[in-house]
Amino acid sequence: MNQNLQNILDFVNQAAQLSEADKETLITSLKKADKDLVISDFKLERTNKVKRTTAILLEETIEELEQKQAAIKQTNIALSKSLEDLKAAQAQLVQSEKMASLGELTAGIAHEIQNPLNFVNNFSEVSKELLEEMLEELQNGDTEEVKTIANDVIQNLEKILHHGKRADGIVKGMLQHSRKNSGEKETIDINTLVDEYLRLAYHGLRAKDKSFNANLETNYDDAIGKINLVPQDIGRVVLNLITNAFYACNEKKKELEKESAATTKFQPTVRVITKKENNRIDITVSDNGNGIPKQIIEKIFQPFFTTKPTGQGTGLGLSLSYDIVKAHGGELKVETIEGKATTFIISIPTTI
Amino acid sequence: MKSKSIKGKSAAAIQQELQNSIADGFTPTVAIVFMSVKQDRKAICQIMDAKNIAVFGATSCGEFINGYETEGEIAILLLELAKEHYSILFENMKDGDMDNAVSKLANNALKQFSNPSLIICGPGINQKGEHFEGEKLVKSLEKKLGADKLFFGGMAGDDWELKETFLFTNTKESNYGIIALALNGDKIAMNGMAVTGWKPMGISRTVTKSDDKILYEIDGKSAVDLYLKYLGKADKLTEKEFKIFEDLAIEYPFIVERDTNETVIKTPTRIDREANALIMDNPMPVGTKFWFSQPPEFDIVEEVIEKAAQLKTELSTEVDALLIFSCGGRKPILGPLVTDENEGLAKLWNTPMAGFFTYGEFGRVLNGRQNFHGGACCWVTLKEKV
Repeated sequence: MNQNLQNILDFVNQAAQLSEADKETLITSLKKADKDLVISDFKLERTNKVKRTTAILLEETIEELEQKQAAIKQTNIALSKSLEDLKAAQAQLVQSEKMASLGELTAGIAHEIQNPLNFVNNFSEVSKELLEEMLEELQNGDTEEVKTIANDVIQNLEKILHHGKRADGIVKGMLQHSRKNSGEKETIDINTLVDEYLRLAYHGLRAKDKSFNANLETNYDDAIGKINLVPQDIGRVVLNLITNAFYACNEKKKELEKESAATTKFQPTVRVITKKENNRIDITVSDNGNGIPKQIIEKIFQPFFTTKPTGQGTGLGLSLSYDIVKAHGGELKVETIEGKATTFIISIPTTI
Repeated sequence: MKSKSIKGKSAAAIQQELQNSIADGFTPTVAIVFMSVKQDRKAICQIMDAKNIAVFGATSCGEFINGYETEGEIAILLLELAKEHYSILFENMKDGDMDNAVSKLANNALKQFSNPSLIICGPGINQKGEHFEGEKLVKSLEKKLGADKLFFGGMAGDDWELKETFLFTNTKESNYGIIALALNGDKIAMNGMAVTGWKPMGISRTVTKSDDKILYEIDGKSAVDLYLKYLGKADKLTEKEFKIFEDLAIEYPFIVERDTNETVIKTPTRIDREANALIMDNPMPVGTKFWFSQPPEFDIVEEVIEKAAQLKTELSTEVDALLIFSCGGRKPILGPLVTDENEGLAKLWNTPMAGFFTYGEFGRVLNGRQNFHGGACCWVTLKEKV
């Protein structure tokens, strides 16, 4: 018992003037006061102790959190840097893919340029001969003959100009395809664009592989008219789909030939259709290749996914195509029958 | 069912108290005995034998009945239970096979009664001299008995010697066993609750390296360093004599997240200096989420009593007896308030009470499932159904 309370208790016990009942009441109160004092002392001591410990723990926790915050800031900076690097790498990859598709076009372009060049060379040679002939006739004083020859030369020069422009157009198209995308839309004839890329892809493949042959079936809807879009982007999508289609049916042909060890009756066929449907246009590219297996159909639009042997495909073609079509507010869909055929449909709204 | 609680400083005192209690014709059949390891267990059992009273006994870390709280003494709850409504079951785990012992005990209980309820005590210290893994016992027993069965109890103590605890009946005794008072649940109603009061402090932590009860790393940092540093004991890092359990952990255990949105108190018991690890009282697997804690506020006593009062109102019935299994750690933490807690419960239920300070508790928090607890006040009432 508290010493002061004990003194009072002793006094009460010895106080003869107090009745027993009063003593009992006082003693009960003293004991109660002592208990309350003990509890108060305990509470005070524990409160101080807990307060000290809690303060230390909270200080340590705050310090730890501050360190974590600083670490998170550092991580954020590093993440931002990584993000920038990633974006730069992605841009490089997109450019590489562009250049890769340009590579696919090169042979086709060479073929396409060869024709006008032949014309230019031939007509130039003929014109030279005609002009030499014209000089002779001038010396002979046969002006009628000179006029006739001059008209022939003019016609030849018109043809040279025409084929020169054709070659110029092809080179410009190639440059347009490879240059960095400004993202600006232009009003273009979609049928012309599709047909140009179809031919470039076909001749490109033929130039690389003389044995390659395929039926090309086209059905262009004349009602389409001109569409406002980014031509080099949509051109890249069309080229990618057509190249894939040729690759798919050519692979099937090779497999069948391997199996039967003889020439197969299978004829690779790529069909390209354009169609206007209400407020959208559909560009459909179909092939009669092996189709796409069910287990990978979900993955084909993922970046870096490819079924081609290592080094033959970047795995970015369809992924970029998907993004381009989406950026035009459209959809890129695929339908496939395993072992038989695949159809890709570019569906773009005409109101873009 | 009649009941009385008695206490004494010795076997002789208990002999006298028992004699006094039966003077009015009270004929107890069961004695729930909580006593210090220093007391003569055999003498107590002989006294009870002489009166044909079945003994359910556990050593304690301080014991109490209504109005008295002692250390080093004996507290007994005497019950006048009909023989057909109870059975005292005892299994030894000497071979270390706890699951087997629990299985036998549970099967015996289920053989005796289709709906058994159990008062159960386990050892506080295992064969290696470490804290007994009460969590494993509870999980095993819940599995064997069925999740709907009730059991309340605690882990025996040894006056903080932390060396050897005992469980005993009239004829058997073990320092590594399980004892159960199996009651016919259809005839004896059992209601109770476990409340701890420890509160999370600071941020959530995660165990990143551990092996069963050996805790190496918290959030990728040394568990020993972190624990001592954060609780202001960094200067004890190199002090080999520092008693982490007594001097720190008992007051600042971990609050560990567990299934069904419940938490459990887990306590570091010592430091393995060689491995630089904390040895816990129960396993802390990698991935375990927990918090450092702060001890219960002073209003915990009111909280315990209020929750009990709420249950009492819901049950709307008187009870025949009250048992309290209060964690030994509550005594140094709550000081004189722990007496108020126990007394408050006895006063609320207005019934004979006995209890002891334990090394772990078994019971259910309000609306919770059967679980192991640490740092809890776990109480249970018994009522014979009419």
